Amino acid sequence: MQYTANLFSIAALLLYSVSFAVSLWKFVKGDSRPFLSRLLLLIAIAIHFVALILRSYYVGHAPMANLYETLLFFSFSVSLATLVYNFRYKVGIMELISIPVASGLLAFAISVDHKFTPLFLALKTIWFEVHVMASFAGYALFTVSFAAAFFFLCHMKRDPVKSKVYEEIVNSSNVWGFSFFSLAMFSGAIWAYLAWGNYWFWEPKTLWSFILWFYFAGIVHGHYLKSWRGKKVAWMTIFGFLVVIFTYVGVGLLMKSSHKL
Amino acid sequence: MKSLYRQLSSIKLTIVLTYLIVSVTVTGSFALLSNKEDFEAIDESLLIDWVWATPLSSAWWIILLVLLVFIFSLNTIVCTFDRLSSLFKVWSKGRKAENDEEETLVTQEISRGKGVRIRTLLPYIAHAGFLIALAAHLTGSIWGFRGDDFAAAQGDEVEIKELAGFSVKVGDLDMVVGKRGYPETMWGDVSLLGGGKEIKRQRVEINSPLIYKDIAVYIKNVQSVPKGIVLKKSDKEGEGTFLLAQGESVHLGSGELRLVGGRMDSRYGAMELIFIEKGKIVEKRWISPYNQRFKLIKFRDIHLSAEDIKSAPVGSFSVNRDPGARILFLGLFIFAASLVAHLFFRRSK
Ligand code: HEM
Repeated sequence: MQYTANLFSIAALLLYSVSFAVSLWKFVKGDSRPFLSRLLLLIAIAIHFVALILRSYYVGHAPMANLYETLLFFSFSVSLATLVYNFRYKVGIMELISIPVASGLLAFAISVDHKFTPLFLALKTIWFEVHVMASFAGYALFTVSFAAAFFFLCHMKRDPVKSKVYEEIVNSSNVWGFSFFSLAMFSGAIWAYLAWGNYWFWEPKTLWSFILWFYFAGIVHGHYLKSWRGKKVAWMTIFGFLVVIFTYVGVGLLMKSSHKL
Repeated sequence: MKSLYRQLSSIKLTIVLTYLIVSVTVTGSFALLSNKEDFEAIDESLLIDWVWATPLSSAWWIILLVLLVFIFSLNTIVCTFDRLSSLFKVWSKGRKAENDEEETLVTQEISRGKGVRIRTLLPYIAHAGFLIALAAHLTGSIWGFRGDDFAAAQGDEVEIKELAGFSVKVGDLDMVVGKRGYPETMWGDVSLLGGGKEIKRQRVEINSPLIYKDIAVYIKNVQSVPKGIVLKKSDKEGEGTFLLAQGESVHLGSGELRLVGGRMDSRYGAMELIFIEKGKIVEKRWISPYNQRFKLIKFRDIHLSAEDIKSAPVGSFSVNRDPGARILFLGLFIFAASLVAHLFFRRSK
């Protein structure tokens, strides 16, 4: 079962790469019809989804209990969020950035230890799933806004019409990401209260979740200041992606967090 | 006064404060690691008690954070009040918005000369939810308590020392170990007693504490504690089986055999026996039914074999009281729900 799940992950990775290559090629040629690359992306996401289902079936719980599983899930969330924004805003080429990010995460997942991690008792609650899914939805949307912010800055001088669309994408995915992350903070607080008796812990992972949350609260409000709207918000969003990455992996690797996950 | 009001109601201040708060927290997250001992007790005590008991060299950033969050709340209150009151003026007199630096949905709707719709106010309801959560958090950091862990077996009644007249009584409890050797469930039937009467009774598990108003009773762990050992004795007179309980003795040949201790994990265990002759310990041995090397022992010419260990589950519990918790969840819920509603309308805009 794990073997099959791995095959599906590798197939998804290959398709992501092909989809990326196609969109890069079209981008270089100045061809703005994204049909083929998006179809490939859609198929890759479907295959990736099967890999997640197989993994859940194999371990008997939602695939979010160790580094391998969260990487698999994170990369899936990034691809899915990209696809959603692609369909909603037709013009975006965020996949030129976000699909390499998703593929990198997936390749990392394939390379780390796949061993089964037993679900310790505190993880056996619906709040665990809600908390983790909401966090990764937030992370993924912040990744999309990072990509859109990059293209906003590229188009700012040359193409005001396109840059307006990118600005809207940045703003929309920041607010959506912020909302999902708020849901993650809410469910995390309830879960911690039920499992450990406190809704807040003074330890690195909790603190960094708070940092990420507040950081994007600042950006969301930046949109309301004319002097911040556009360029400053875009730069803040790009830097925000580093905060996302640090919150997800940096804290675990550098700070030896005692977060229960 | 007027300029202070203007400062406090500006979104610029909001942004400056969020990034100050972010910077202090980033610094703090590293300070936390370089000074682990001082932060050991922080989650097990009320924040206010911890701050009093901790040197300023460690606690400074938490105090600073509380201060900044306080100003931030003022900002949110004044800002929300300001927008709502200008809205009210617009509604009653049709006045135009004055601030040209900021552009929000409200100012857009005002400058379009249309009435402001209720759904435009959803972000302000979100702000109110956030403030409620913050205030609740403050309450829980000053009042209430985080009790120490205590052990209790079936039938035990333990007084809650922080809460006069209240106690916790433990009924049945157990732990089930799964096939792969990890605990699958842990539970205890727990009653909360007040003034000698049962207030609430519930099966408490990991992730489902007994919650009564602002009091919560948690189960942290259940362990098997060895209570006695079943021994088979064989000597020239024949064979026989008997149970020896923890701390008790039996006559054996020319002396006395006593069970003095034992150890258990989820599956295995061993017990410690001493053999006393004329008031003196002459032998001290470990014995276990689970391990061939320790299964059989011999005192003088009596053979003893370990048949079984009798154990009983003992739970580790704790009681916390947080007067803010439920209000905090309510605030966060209002916050999240009005955000989602706001997003929904924004999309259909
Ligand atoms: C941690 C505290 C705060 C949080 C979590 C928060 C959250 C939010 C969110 C999620 C939105 C909606 C954003 C959008 O859809 O674009 C919003 C809007 C807004 N916030 Fe905040 N906010 C906070 C504090 C403040 C403060 C202190 C002020 C006061 C200056 C403020 C002023 C505003 C304004 C004016 C809007 C725009 C509403 C509109 O479009 O008419 N917020 N806030």
